[in-house]
Amino acid sequence: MTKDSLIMVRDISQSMEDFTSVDRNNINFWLSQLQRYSPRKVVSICLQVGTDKKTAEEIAGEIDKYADSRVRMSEIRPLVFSLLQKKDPTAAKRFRAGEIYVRTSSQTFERFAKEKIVDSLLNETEIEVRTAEKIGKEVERFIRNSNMDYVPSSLIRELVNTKLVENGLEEIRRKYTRVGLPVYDITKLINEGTKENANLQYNPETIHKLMGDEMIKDYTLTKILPKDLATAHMNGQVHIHDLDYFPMRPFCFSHDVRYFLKRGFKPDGTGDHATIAGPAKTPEVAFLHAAKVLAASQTNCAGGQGFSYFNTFLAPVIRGLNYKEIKQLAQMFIFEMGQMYVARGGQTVFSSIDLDMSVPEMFRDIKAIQLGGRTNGETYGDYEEEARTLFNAFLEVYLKGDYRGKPFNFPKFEVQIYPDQFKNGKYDEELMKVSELAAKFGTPYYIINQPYMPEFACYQCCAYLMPLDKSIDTDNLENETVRGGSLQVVTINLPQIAYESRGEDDKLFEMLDERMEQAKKVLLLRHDIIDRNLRNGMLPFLSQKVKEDERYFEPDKQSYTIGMVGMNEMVRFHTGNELHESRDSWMFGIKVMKHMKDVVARFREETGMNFALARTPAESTAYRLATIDRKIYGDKAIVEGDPVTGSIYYTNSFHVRPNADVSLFDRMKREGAFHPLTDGGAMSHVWLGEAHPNAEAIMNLTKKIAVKTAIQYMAYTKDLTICESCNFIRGGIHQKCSKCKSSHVQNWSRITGYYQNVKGWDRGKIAELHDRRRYSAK
Amino acid sequence: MRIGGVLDMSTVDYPGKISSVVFFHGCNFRCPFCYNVSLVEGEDYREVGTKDILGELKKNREFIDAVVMTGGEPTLQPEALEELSRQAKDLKLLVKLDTNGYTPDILRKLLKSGLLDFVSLDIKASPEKYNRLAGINCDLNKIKQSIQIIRNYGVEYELRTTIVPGQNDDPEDIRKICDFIGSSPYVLQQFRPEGGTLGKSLKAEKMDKNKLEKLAEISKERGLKVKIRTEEGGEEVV
Ligand code: SF4
Ligand SMILES: [Zn+2]
Repeated sequence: MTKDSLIMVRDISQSMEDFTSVDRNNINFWLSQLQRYSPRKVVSICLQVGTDKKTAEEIAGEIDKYADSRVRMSEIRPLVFSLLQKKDPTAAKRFRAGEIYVRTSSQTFERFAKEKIVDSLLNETEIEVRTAEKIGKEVERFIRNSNMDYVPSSLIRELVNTKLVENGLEEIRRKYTRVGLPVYDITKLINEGTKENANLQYNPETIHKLMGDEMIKDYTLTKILPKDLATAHMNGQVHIHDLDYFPMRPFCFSHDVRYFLKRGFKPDGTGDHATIAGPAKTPEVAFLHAAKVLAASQTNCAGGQGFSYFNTFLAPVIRGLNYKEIKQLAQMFIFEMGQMYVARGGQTVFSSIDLDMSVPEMFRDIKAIQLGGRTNGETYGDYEEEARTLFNAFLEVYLKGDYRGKPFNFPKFEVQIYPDQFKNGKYDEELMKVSELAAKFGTPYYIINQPYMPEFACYQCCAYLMPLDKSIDTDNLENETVRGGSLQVVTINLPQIAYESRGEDDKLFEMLDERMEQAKKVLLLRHDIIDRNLRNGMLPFLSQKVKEDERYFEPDKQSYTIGMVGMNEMVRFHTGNELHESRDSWMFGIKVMKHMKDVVARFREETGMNFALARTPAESTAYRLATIDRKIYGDKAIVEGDPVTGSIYYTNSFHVRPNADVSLFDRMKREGAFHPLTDGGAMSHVWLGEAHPNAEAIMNLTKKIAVKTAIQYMAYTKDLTICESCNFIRGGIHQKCSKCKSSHVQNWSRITGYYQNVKGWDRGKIAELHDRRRYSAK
Repeated sequence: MRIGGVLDMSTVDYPGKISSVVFFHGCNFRCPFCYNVSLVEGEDYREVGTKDILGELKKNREFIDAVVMTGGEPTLQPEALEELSRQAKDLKLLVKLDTNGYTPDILRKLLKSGLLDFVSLDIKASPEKYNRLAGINCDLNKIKQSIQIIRNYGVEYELRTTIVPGQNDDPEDIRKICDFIGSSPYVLQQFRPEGGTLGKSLKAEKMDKNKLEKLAEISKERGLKVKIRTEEGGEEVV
């Protein structure tokens, strides 16, 4: 302690009544410490004036030869000064000036000055000058009285925050605070990784990503989101998806490969940081560009990356090749997507491809982009044969699986089917192959072009429907505009609304409106953030130019998605029955859905932006919201799973409860009725229980679902047990390999929108997995 | 009628069709490898009317093409079987019967009334070993008769044998079975010792798939249309 600070301590002790009891205790402690000599104090004094540790210890050592604990520190100080003068004159000068030095985060040693605190408070927040000065003074006093070797700037900030809270300045604190992780958490991440996301392997990239995620999530909740919206998320009123990417990237995007066939490919969007390629001149390069486009775009997007009408647009590229060569290209693409283990902190790209059994009507007369990026008068209609061959080639690759026979979970495979074509049986051969794939691995996602759907239905990689009808004309179709995505998703927690409205219809709808209004605010905020980021050049891949006044990604053209979770539990609480139990309850669900649809339509009108109602693929949402509600509402909250162990969840979107013992038809019919009420995508699942479903029967069933229900998007899920020892793949969830008896097995199933190793599922989803009513299971 | 239960949807019990499956309780055989123990012995059944089952079928009517009568041995409850088949036909469902072939008269009656679209008939073993693998003393003429009846009525059918290691998996067994059944669509099914088997002393392992394929080859050489059903590959044409 310096002379000045001793004086100050004396001042303090004279006006102790100004202090809280905690402060008083602190001060008394320091006073008692200050007055008696100890070698440690000498070291501390020396360090505080910026001398190095070695010198400090030497000085303390020398003094200790003469001094003992009866001596007062004030008597020691002249000694310290003279020794400092000998060993470190600069430090001695500081000693005389009474300055404190602190080690800061930038690893330098700086003089501590309360003015810095005041400046930073004024700079970073809207605090009043007087208040800032007061806080600066309080913090300085505390630091001077402490006995620390060094005061990292992070600690100074924490001290300031404490003072801000003490002074009732919570809003200021929110702005001034730091976000970061406790040392304990970082250690844990480094030593163990995470279990939260099975896509994340335990590796250094992942650890980096997770630390970043945590920080940004925290930052978003603290700084980006207004307090009411952050609170709505924290209280589980709504779930704002992908908070870890919120201040930076949009969610998912489906691409038009023609853009790149025509113009070539710049992975970084500018060519400043990566190599630039012109339009592909060989088929192989075209396919490689396609693969890399998805990886490049993933660096700018948080969610899935896909290609719509993929085989149609690539058909011209493969003209003249034999089947073997074509299959090799398809295989190369699939393997590329499964092997570029580089995206978002060491994951494969979350990718998907939409394939057509035949060139879709609307592209038949559109000029086809050839190798070299040129057109030659031919249209996609002229490439029917190539498109079909490529479709088959992709299917064969999918059917084979990887080197070990493991199915490809990415890129997801989506197939367009048209119920009105079933009668003529024209595509039965293709549909049969797709059915084989469904029976073997459960891979395909069916986009069923129902009569009520828009003509251009691109299903997103994350299962969001992108209706293109409004903005599209022939001119557009020629200009690579078959692209877009959902920029952000917000899920409404429906059961919570039911608990809050206590059976009153009016209240329920009123609250629903409120929550949707919150969702809208979040979505508008996101629009502005992404718009700003694009203009600032933060998303260079997305801001590539299509035309002078048009970027590849335009926020105004994206979907803003509102989804829901727990329709079933809401209806049960409100009406007493579940969706499958009574017609009235089901109709009430439909009424809620219609209401939401109307509200979303109103949002569209008000804002001119493409708001969309969709089912949410609630991977962690279902568990998170159920858990929050259980905490708030206790037993009153209706959750699925096991409340005793906490493995609980809400039923996804408008689905019938996973373990409801109803016929598949009943389930599909009830869920199907909700599909036409969405405008941003819906999905239903058929959980299969057979180890080897019959492909022909699956084809049969697919056709019936397509014709007899309103389901527009669906998948068959077959659980798989993959043996790590002998590679044997068996249908169903088993603990042991039935071939070699090894217990080193992986269980795979579809979490909601993609296949994933069950190991990484959260407890809620695992409970759901066990609950799922599997059809055709004995 | 006594049933063990109803499976509301299956893709594998009627070739290429979506079916519901009705498990009849009770059997006149005692095959040691049978793993439907509770359907053969004991009191674990439900007493229901055909109307109840019909109600179950109707729930999924839009999706199913067929109903499969299996067991146990459905023909041991002939009235119920006939009534249910008739009602299923009224719903325009296809009807398949799984039988051990030991009740040719009933089989004939059903076929004559046009109530069956597909018959699956078990061939337990070669004639010498039949008694052992059916668990009773068999009059093989009844089985022969059943095969003949099915052929006469020209419905779709398959004969099938569950191949159990050490019991009926000798190539010679297969040759003799082929002699016995003549040229029929034939399915070799893999025995799997999951759950319990009827014969407590039966200590058989799972039938090896490669061996099963070899046996299938033998019957194929005889000019039969042959399929195998295994855990590894499901149903496969050989
Ligand atoms: S396997 Fe034998 S005992 Fe079992 S149900 Fe069939 S015929 Fe009866
Ligand atoms: Zn194994």
